[in-house]
Amino acid sequence: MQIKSKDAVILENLERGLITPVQATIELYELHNTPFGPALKQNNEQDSLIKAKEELNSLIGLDNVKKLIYEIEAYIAIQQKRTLVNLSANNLTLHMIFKGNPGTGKTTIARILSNMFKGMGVLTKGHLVEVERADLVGEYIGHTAQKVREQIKRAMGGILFIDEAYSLARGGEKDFGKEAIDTLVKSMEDYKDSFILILAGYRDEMEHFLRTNPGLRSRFPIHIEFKDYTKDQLMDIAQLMVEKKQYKLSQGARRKLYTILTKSFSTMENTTGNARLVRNIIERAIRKQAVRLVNKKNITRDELIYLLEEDFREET
Amino acid sequence: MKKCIIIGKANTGKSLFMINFAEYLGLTTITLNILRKKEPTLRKTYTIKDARQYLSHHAPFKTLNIQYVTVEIPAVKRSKTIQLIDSGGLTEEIHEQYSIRKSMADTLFHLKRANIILHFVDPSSVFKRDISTPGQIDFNIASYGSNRGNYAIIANKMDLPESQAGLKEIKRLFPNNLIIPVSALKKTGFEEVKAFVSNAI
Repeated sequence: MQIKSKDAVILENLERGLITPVQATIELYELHNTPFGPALKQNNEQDSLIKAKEELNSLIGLDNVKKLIYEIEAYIAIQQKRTLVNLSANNLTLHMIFKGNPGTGKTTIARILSNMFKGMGVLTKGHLVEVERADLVGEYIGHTAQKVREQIKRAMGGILFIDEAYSLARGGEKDFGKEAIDTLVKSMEDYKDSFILILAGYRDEMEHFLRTNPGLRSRFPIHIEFKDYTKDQLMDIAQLMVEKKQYKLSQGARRKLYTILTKSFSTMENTTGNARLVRNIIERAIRKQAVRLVNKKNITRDELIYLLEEDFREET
Repeated sequence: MKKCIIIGKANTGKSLFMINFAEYLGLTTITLNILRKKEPTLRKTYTIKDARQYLSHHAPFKTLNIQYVTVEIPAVKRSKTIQLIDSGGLTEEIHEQYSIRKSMADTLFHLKRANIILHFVDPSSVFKRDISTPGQIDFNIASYGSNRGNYAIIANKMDLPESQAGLKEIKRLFPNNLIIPVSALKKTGFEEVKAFVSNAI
């Protein structure tokens, strides 16, 4: 009843000429969008924001990324609030650069961001279009612009995610990659509120890419660096992965996995600190467990759940 | 019964739309239910022609009471009856007349109870300073409506030549909302509105 009367007070003030209709709509809006307001039907959009944030929180590590994303979220929310009370709001340029090695969570974060932005009303559709050089660069004059525009059209209302974007500037003077960059820049200006562009790639290559295309840096206000995972983080990721699939790691399996990771860290391959490496190891172990069990009679529930040390043994 | 409210600034053509849309949906007479506070609902029946003449006007603030007609909208399985609610026009500023202020309070009261919101804007007045020129209140309704869902912006008066440029501007101002261009006078765009309402119920 308390809430109902609050509503009525606003309308009464409007009727009595104490507040403008504009003020009344703002007050009603705020009344119904606070968590304590009467339960308005929670729509998909708020849902997708909550889900995206849950997913973000469940990710291992990536602390600097999470912090930055919460900053962006607060920034958007405040700009929207400012618009609501007639204050000038900075326009939201949210194009981003993701720097980091493969398997450090760039695509995952891009997907979460697309859902978050949809939930916040920044993007209308909130889908993620993942492309690479081959999807953008054409084979003859004029082909490139057409291909780029096509991808941008697909990404309208969502995020266009260009993996290994530095490769666009790879081919030298005669390469059409330059044309792709120019078309992208033009589209960013033309449809600046309709889609978000994310360029991703290795840190050093992306730095070089931005240095050689000076116009680009200023158009991407947000730079996110993805650090390699530590050994312990990778173990946590492995744990989470198997739990999601309803498997468990035996003590021996954990030890073996740790050894494999240590070896990978000592050789400094480029898969070091890479969550994709862990995923592949786990998936292989799951297959091996299946082979180990398939001809066995009377399989117990535990046997189906546990991955053992021998499942992680590398093929020779 | 689902309620579909027609809301917007004064003089955006809300009442004419209600009548002509009802006619488009197959009504031959308009039975208007006029809601009054603390008094019984007043029911009046008009022919379409009379309704147009008596209920809509080229000057603003013709409609002061909340009034609705019941119409049939074809839905997924079978057609459904909904209330098509016409409301008094809104302004940005405090209006000097009590009856108009009261009408606006009623409009917002019913906005909260509606299931579907058709938010009327006037693209022909975008570059002028008319009473119907889109303004802050339209942004507020849009953010309220977007949060609620089942919300569309109806750009009326598309028969006027200035409306084409105005529509572009409205699309720029409300990039995240569904915008349906219609002409209540020439009865264009009604198909899309019907589809939207049908989808929403």
